Amino acid sequence: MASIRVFLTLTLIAIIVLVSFLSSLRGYRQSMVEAETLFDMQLQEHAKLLSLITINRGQVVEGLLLPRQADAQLSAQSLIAYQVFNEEGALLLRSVAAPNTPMSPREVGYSDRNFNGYRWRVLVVWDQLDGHWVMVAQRLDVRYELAESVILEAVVPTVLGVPLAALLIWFIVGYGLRPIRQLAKEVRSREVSDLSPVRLDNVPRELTPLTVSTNDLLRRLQSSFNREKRFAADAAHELRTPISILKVQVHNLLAELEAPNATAEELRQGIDAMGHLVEQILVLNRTAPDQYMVQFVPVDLYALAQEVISSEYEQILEREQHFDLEGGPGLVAGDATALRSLMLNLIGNASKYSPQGAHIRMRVRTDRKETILQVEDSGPGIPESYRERVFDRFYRLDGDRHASGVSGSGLGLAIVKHIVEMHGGHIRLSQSRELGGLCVTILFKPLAQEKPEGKKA
Amino acid sequence: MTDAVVIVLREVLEAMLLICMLMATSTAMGYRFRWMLGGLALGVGGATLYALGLEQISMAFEGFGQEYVNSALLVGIAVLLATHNFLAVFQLRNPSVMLAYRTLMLTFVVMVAMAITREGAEIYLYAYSYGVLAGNITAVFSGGVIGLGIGLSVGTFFYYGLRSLARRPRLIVCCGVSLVLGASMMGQASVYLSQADVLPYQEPLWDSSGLFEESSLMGELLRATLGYEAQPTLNQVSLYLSSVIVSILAMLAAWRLHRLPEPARGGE
Repeated sequence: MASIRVFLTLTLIAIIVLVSFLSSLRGYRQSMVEAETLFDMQLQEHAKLLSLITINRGQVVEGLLLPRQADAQLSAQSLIAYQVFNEEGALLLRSVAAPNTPMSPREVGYSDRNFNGYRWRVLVVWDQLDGHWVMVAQRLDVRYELAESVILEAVVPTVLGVPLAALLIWFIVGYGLRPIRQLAKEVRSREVSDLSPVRLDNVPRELTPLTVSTNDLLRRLQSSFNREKRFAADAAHELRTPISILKVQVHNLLAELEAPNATAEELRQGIDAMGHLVEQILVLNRTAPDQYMVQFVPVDLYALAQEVISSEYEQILEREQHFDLEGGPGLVAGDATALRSLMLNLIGNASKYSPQGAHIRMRVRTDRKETILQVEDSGPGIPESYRERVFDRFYRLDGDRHASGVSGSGLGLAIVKHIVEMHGGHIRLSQSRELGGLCVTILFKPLAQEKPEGKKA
Repeated sequence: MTDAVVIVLREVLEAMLLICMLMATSTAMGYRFRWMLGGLALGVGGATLYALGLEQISMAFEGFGQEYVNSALLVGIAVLLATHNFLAVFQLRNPSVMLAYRTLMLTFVVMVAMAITREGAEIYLYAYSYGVLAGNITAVFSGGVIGLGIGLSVGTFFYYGLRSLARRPRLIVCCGVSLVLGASMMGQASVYLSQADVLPYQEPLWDSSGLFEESSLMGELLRATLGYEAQPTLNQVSLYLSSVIVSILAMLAAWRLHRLPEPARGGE
């Protein structure tokens, strides 16, 4: 069923139409039968009236005996024709509409006859007292039209009332379904991280089981999330201390060794990689959009970039790479710690995956619609078909056999994407036109477009 | 007024059965029925043109133009209904295959447009001659609206009845309805072809007027749904049955199409 509202409206209108129209039809047919009886009774009245009229008995009258005005009125009202014959069958009296010949054989009762080009309903009465045959007739088409016009007066309002009923049903059904719409709206308008119970005023009885089970589901989902979050964060946090101790121990070991030892060096690199992975997991957890909740503050991306570059400059110099920072102030509403992580990951990636002596360029600029942060390098870049997948957690191009031979956690770009989404921005990977390597473009809403109040992400 | 009710109801019911059946088939095949708007618009346009040009059409083909056009429309719908059955059974046997949307919807649009052209023109002519020309506007209008209302209401229940069925039984019922509608169309077409002297005059095979008078409400309803005729000729019965047989053969062909041997797989 596509829509409950459409279904209810259509079927209710169909029921109303069927019931009212079929009733009208039946009422119409019954009324037509009743009208026939009434018209027949009217003919009887006319016949009685004619019988009462005193006429010159036995005298044949050509033309009319009734005053012309009365006859005309009678004929005009319902096109009634009449004839009065004496016992011998001589015409004593007739109306304008009646022929000179008998309208019907002299048989008492009702019958349908044709004359004057129409079908007539004829009543023949034998007046025993005066010895007259009285014949009164009425055109059947006129009777039908008269009856129908009266009955249609009752049918037409029913027919015209249906569109009004349809309109009312549409609105009433819509009103009745309002709690469902409200429930859907309440669930739809929630932030990803909001797993609090659904609260609706005056929940109808039919929706109570749904809200109860939805709330129960949300509660279980919330506790699962909390468990997962606590586990990942706790595990990473607990690993920090032993890794720090290991780092110190291996540093001491390397210092105590008189000659360079390849195994010990590999051990140091392994411990560093493990430490990096643990830090990245912690950052990922802190910045996950479904768990992050923070009051944003104005952050100048350009100033932040300068700060991050100075802290990473040692690594860049080590690899003899050239680094340019271009552009100017770019104010966004954001979380400085998270944006710092974003830049660290971008610069770290560019430096790590670009060869010795490569060129890295960072740009910050603001136009009318957005603040743009762009990081380009002259490294190998990422093939187009992999540009979506590299945002997946723990995904590394070519797995652990990465062409660069550089170790990594596979979390860097996942973290970057989390942080971009948290700030309501967009990220795009492309090939750098000028440097030939990877070009990461991030579009943030500029500060001016942000609402004055802090934003939940 | 009763005449207007019966005539409009008969035409509307015939069109509604066809349209609702096609809508139900569309949903069972996983498509929506936006196509219907196109069919309705074309049908209304076609009915207006047909009614306005009736005089010219009637004069064409030595005075048998109307009979030719009517029978062409009816035969066309019947052929498309057999095509519908072929496609529906193919879909039943191959649920995962999505049929070509454009071809399918074009078939449905043409069917709806042809049906509305025919039924709409008949309603238009009746309303014009008995309502406007004869001065019975109120009676014909009221009767027409009552007939239209009852027809649309029955169609609504018919559609939701079909929609309440699961996909497979819905397609099967739609095929059954389509089979009967197609046969009814061919039966009616044979009457027009006899009137145009394409088919020879024949005496009726039987007379069931005693059971259901054709002009009665029940008779008209049976005519609209099953193509009932109180005094059918051999031509009518033959065309009715041949339509049923062609439709069944189309369905069998679609059923067997699934069983065609798959191309041999290459060695691995």
